[in-house]
Amino acid sequence: MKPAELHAAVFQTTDQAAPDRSGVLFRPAWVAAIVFVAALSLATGLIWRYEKVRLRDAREVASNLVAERAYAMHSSFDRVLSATYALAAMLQQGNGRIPHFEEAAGQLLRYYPGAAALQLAPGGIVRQVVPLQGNEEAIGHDLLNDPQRARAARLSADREQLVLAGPFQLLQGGLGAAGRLPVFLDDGQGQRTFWGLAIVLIAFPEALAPARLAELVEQGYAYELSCTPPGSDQKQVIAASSGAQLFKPVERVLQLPNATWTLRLAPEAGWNDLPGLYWKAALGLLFSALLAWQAALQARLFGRTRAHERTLEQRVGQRTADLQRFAEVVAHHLREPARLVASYASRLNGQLTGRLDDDEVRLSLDFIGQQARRLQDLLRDVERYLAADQARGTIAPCDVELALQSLLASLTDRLADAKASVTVLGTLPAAMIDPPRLLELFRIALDNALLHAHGEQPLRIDIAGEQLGRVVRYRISDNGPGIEEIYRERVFNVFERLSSTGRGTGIGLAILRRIAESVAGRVWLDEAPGGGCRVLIELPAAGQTEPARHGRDDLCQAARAK
Amino acid sequence: MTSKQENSFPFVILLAEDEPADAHLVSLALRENRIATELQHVLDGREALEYLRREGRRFATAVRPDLILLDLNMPRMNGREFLAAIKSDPALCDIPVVVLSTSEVDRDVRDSYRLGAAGYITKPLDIGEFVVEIRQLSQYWLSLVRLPENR
Repeated sequence: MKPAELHAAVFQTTDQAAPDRSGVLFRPAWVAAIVFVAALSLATGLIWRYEKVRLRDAREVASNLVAERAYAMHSSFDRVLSATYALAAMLQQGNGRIPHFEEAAGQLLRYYPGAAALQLAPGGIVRQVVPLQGNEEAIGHDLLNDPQRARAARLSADREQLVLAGPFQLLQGGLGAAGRLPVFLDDGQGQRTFWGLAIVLIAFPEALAPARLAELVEQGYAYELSCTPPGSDQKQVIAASSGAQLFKPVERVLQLPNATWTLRLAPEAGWNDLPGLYWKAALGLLFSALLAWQAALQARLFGRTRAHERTLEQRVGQRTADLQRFAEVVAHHLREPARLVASYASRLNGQLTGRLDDDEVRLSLDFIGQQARRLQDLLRDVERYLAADQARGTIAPCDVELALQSLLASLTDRLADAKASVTVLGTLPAAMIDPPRLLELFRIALDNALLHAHGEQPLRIDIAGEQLGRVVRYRISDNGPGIEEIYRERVFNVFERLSSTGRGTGIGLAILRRIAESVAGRVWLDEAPGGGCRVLIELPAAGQTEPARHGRDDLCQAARAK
Repeated sequence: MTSKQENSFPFVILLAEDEPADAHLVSLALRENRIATELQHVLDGREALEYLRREGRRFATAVRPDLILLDLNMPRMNGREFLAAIKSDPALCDIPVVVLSTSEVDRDVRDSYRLGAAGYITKPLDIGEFVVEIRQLSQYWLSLVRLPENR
């Protein structure tokens, strides 16, 4: 075959494009969808948490505000109502009369800005009012017998304590409330007699001024001040920013004399910040979408990289196979002329025996024969090396002890010639490999010991093995001169020899390593305890549960085959 | 130390070659060219270094060579490693080393010169050509070129 034909035969499949089966495993759309959902969930969670905190803060602010305003209102009422005590003191002083009441009351009104009017009601009937103007209607009003006022008025008299009545429609117009204090006079004999009522009228909304309710509206709040009259379930609204019902308001209760008022507050627009929420939701969506887009890009890139890697792997595999095939073909083709040279050199040597007296010619002939045989050996070893990574049978649990027995049986003569003894220490665990190559591993290791033997003392070879988790390790030690540390890695190179005089081409350990590595094992050298060489072979362990499948027959057959 | 004048041969060549057939060819070529040399033969780079450094009893009286002929592929220490070792040794670095190799690979030629080889010769198939090459080589290195006095 011409070189061009050979090349064509070897590389014929190289340039065929490998079909692209990638892109199915990694779907960017799926990745994007998953990332989008995850990011959206995260964003929703964050927004929800933020809203919760914001709502709590807003309610706290409103709560503080309503407490502050209720307190101001309460203080103002206390102050206004206390005007009745001043009137009572003056009545007791004047024994039921206040001289110049108009004048005195006018002065008092200046000190109590929340008070709309002061009244005296001896026997419960309003007799005097200051200011009179606008309050004329009130004169003569019998409070204890007015169906609307009597209850509160009597309560005040009976309990002998200040009572806030109202709110109610004032006779003089508008909404108001009244603080009524029953006045008792001492008759001089230690008896207290009911004189009547001292009254302060409170007009709304003027009396609510200290609570600055209008400001709340400016701040965006809606408020409502209401009371529930004693004995009634009906809420009565005293003041409110609007007629609308407040949504989940914060409230503060004011305990007034015989009355309970409640100030409620809620944001005019509700507690939810809807525009803000929309913005956040939009941002969350955008963020999730961007992330999903990025993920899709990454997934596509990853998919492409993987596809590219697969294509590359296929190509490298193809090229390697081509090269291997090429080397095999070359070695095979070279063996033929090498064999012929060796044959003819041998024939020539035989023909010239006894006829040749020139040593130089004889030496040349010897060299030709030697070199032709060496070439054959080298080519045979190249072929062995190339074939070393291919299983010669099923890779299955292999009984190493049986294998070794059959190997030693086939090597009996060689071992006897070298005066070598082989001892197997303990039991050897089973390995996961095909029997022919297992035998070759041990054969090469034993050859290595035989090649480097001293020659002075009998060669002793010890073989031991152990299981280390998922691997088994075999140690083949000899008592030879050992291998210097600097050469222990180098001797695994192809055709690497440590001596030019020794036998062998220097391929054995390279084959050993190629076999071991092809089954994911490894091989290395170190020093045996006695200073000799130790070959360490690590192979995958046979499964614990699976019984050894290669029996004696397989192994004996494999041993004979070599 | 043995001086050159006392020696029967005026020139000493050290040949580092693991293949006996090749070593025989070199001695044959020198003989056929009637070049008066003493050929010292060692089997690998490590032995060559031991020779040059006169290590061990075998090389205790070794003569410093005028020229070293070096094979590239040898066991233990190959030609490249030997070149690197000798060129980093101040006492030995001025001995010219000529590589005698079968390899026609350009990388081997380049590496050899980079490591300090004085020349690179590809061994021809024809013995007659090889004899001519050895003659030219010897004439150049042993007659024409002046080498430093370092005996």
